[in-house]
Amino acid sequence: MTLRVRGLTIDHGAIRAISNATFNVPRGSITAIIGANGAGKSTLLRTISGLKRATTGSILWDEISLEHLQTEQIVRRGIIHVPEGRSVVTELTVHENLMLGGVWRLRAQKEDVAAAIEEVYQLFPRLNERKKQRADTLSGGERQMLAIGRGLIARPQLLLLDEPSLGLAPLVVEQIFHTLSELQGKTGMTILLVEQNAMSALRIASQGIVLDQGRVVIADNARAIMNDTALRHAYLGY
Amino acid sequence: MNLINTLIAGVSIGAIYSLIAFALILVWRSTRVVNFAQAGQAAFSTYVGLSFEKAFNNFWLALLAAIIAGVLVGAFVEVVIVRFIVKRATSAATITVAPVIAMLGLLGIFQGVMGLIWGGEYQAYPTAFSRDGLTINGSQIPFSQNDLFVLLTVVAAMSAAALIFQKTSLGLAMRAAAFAPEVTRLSGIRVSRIRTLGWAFAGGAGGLAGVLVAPTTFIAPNSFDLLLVFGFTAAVIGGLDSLIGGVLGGLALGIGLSVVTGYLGGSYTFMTAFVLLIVVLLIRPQGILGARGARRA
Repeated sequence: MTLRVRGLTIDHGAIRAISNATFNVPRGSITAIIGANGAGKSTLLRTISGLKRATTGSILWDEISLEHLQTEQIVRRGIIHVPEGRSVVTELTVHENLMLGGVWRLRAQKEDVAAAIEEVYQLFPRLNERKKQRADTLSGGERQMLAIGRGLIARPQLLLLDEPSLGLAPLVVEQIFHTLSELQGKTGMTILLVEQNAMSALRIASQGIVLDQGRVVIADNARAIMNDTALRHAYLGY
Repeated sequence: MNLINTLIAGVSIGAIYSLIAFALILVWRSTRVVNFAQAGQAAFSTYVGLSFEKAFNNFWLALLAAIIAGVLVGAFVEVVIVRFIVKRATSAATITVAPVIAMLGLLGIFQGVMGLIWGGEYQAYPTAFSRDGLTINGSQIPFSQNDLFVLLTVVAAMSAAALIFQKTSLGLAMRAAAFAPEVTRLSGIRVSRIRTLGWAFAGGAGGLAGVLVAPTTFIAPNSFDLLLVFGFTAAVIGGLDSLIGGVLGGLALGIGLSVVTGYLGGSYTFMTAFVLLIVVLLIRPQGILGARGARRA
């Protein structure tokens, strides 16, 4: 299964957020979308998950076009979006947040939801220790783990991660990225990772897509992008 | 009149305020709309109950009919009206003002329609139990069989609601949708359906409250307006976001107003509710159990 984005244009009112973007996200790998703040990265993910509508263009997953589906239907096709800002439900406990990720398939697959929750607890033992605490008592890193964990309960085939490193200490970022990389290797899921933190993202990704002011300027092997000094200076600022 | 009697006298009416507060909070949590039309919805449901009562002469059947009518009217209002207003009102000013004005307008429409169907005059609503004060150790207290019935019914309804909210996946989805609709959608839950359900539950609670209070207030198209004011006060005392807070707020208000009425006289009741509301807003704007800090809309 490949995610194919063809000629995608997305507008925010009068502002063009994404302009005629075309790229593929190959199955079973990590693809990093990098670019400066305001490059349109989040908008792209929000459109794939059906929170926002594209102006033109198509998004194909498993040869099914997603651009007219509702978010709930897209979730049912195995595409899970973890939005930026450590998005958990702060009023619920850690365990309830994880349960939330499985409510939609609880009736048909109750045992598997329970198993998936156990797996998340093994992946992030800190969440297990705090399972009865309200999510607003967690640290930033723990909240991000919970946000990702909530997404994993659906057993995603395509995981859309928006800025998981935002505002976190470098050590925590490293830990989360390491876990993601391991998880990807184990499950074979496809991860589309949006990041401003280009170095960390490219290190675990196999493919990189550079967005600049809503346009895809480069889509290449992650290592090639990392090694291209001129490109890094021009678009990534380091 | 001694203090204990005064306190007891406020409990059952306080329970009804709790029920109205519960309905208002449920709607507020699901759609961020203050439902002023709740008074109209509750009166409409109570009239449906009264029609069943007249046709079949059965209190329980009428009670059930009123609750079902409340559920259906609540869902109808959300699906047909609220959904579109919330979708269209996107700028900062209209988000807060448009639903309020629309709900006030809807209250007027409800009252007009009820006047056309059932007439404008006050009608009596029967009770299943005696409204004479119970006698304890030879002295009569201001608490009747019917008050006991009201109290137990509200406790049962609230317990059922608490069970649904805390123990079922539907309740989990409703709580999540109230505080983080986007994360809830991204978790595969149809938030629009959850919203409709919130309005339906609230409508049912309003219908129940109407049947419980109508024997005391009588029923007319606008006879529940005051109840709405008190229910809203209770909801704000409780913090608007907290269902338990609203229930406690209702009981506190019922008992507090009873004490004021008993010692100062009935002319102070209405004013006291507002004084209480202002004091709570000044000292603890988040309510008794509301979350600290500003809530994201």
